[in-house]
Amino acid sequence: MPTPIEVIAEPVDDIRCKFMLNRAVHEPGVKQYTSAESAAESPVAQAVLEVPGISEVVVSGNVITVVKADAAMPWSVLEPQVRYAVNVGAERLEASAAEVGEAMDDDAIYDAVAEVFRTQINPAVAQHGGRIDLIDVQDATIIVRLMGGCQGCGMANVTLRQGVEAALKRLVPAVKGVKDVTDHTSGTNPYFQQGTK
Amino acid sequence: MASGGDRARLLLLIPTTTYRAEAFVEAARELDVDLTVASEHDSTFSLAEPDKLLTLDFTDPRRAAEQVKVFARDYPLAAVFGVDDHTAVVAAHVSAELGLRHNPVAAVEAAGDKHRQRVLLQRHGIRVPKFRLLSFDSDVKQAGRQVTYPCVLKPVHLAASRGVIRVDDAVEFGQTVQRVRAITDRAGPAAAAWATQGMIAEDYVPGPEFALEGWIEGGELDVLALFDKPDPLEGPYFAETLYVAPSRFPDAVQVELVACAQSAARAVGLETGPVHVELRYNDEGPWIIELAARPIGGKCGQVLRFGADGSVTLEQLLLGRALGRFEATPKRPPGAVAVMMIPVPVAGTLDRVIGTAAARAVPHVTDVIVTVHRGQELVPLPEESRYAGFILARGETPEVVERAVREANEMIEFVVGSALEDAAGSAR
Repeated sequence: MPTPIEVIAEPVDDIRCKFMLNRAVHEPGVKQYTSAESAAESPVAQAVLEVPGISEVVVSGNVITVVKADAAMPWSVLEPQVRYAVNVGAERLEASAAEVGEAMDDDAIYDAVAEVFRTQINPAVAQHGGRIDLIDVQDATIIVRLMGGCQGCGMANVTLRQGVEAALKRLVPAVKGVKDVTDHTSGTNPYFQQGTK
Repeated sequence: MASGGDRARLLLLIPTTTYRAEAFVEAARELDVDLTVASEHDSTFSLAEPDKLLTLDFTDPRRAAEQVKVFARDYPLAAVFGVDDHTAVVAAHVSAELGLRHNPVAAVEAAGDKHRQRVLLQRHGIRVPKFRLLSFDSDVKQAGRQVTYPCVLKPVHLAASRGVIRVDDAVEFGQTVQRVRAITDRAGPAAAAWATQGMIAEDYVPGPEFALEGWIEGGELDVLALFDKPDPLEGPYFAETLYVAPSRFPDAVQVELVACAQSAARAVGLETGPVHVELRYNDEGPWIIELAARPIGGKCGQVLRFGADGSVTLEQLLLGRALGRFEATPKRPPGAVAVMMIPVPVAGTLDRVIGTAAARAVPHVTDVIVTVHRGQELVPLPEESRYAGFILARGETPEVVERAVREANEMIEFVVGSALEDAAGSAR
């Protein structure tokens, strides 16, 4: 069972509510869907549109804007259903990624992982002045080099194992693991400096 | 349960400044547990991976325990492990809140507080140097008349010999108290509410020093290693440099040291968890210098291996024992190990480190780890407590490994400032 997605709801007006998720469920570009059938390419948007009373979904990265058909229907009724639908959609997304993953070779994994690095991993580590370069994929193991604030950082391994590897395994299930080939002693500006017991 | 099925989940409490994040995280992976890492600062992936990364205020263990209690409703925990003095206290609070096996809160807090620890040890008749607590507003002149010289000043809440200075007479005493105060001010007040503020003035105890690494189970000490510290630690500063195991002292001395450490752990109230004890030995017998409810610091733990083939790391053993997976400690493989903690040699901006490849090539040296980086401002002991690096060795005898790390250490040079000054000079 995948890790549940945390959802923060922010009503925009009587008919629109913005739902911010703790991880991306769609490509960064904006996509608008008005029926479950038309949202087949986006399992999360599709699941939300299956909620009775929802007429439109706009999705981009980790933000979903939901439009309801009837302004009189309170968000307090729809919100829990949307939260549930988001997680149902995320499960469908991962199941579909797993099916694709089983048949992926290293080149295909490289392409998929490169996209995750571009859209999710590197924007996240950039917050700490870091960057992670995708070097290669060998037997489904992702070879990376950490740069900037990540190089020599005392928590680099935690970020790599608990953040990067976990995200990659979830989003690209064919990934077996991550190997760090960084020379951490050459880092000149680590975000967290080692230096106590 | 939100994830993980029947796999045990371990919560590892790791401060962001530790040397040991990688060793513990990799150990947890080897043990095949679901791992959650908690630190005092947010990870960039905390929101995306809420079951794997937590942020806790380590200075407020009660609040941290409440936070973990909420977390554990979705992700039940089998064990909690803190890697240093402060996180060990947090782990004790969390374990008490969740009913998990761990040392009692009071025992871990006492172990993490140099003054409370000494009070307990003295009360139980354990041999400790005669000590007195100096608050930051103590009358220095009066205190200087009341101590016996030589004495040693130690900030209550700083670790790794930071601010620890030997004083030989009353004139030095006043100046050194001011210096220790300045070091303490720079370090900031004791961040944890449970810690006593101030400094200890205690008698200097002559004699060789030892470090004992152990695990306490049901109050009983299981010795993982007893290290000799062959470099004399006579002051004025007390940089830890060389650890060698097994001890070359007579069996009778080792038995006394272990018995003393066992009594000390019992006196403090430790029941389940790691213990690190610093002892001295002289004509009067063993003395407790420090006791901590945490494992050995720095990268030193990397020299300790367990099992016939040495495949179990110290961190695997500690986490495994916290999870109840080892009923007893597997024996260490035959032979000897040594670790050299390289003190920061001189103050300045690090330009480069020379000689590490040659040092690595010294027979029996298994690794040379540099833990400072180019451009970093280096400050030697006692003002700071950072080590410049670690040299690890493994061989047939204590003599062989001691010689190896000393030889390797001679080859390494930390070049400070020169290139930057040259660059500045040519720009003029």
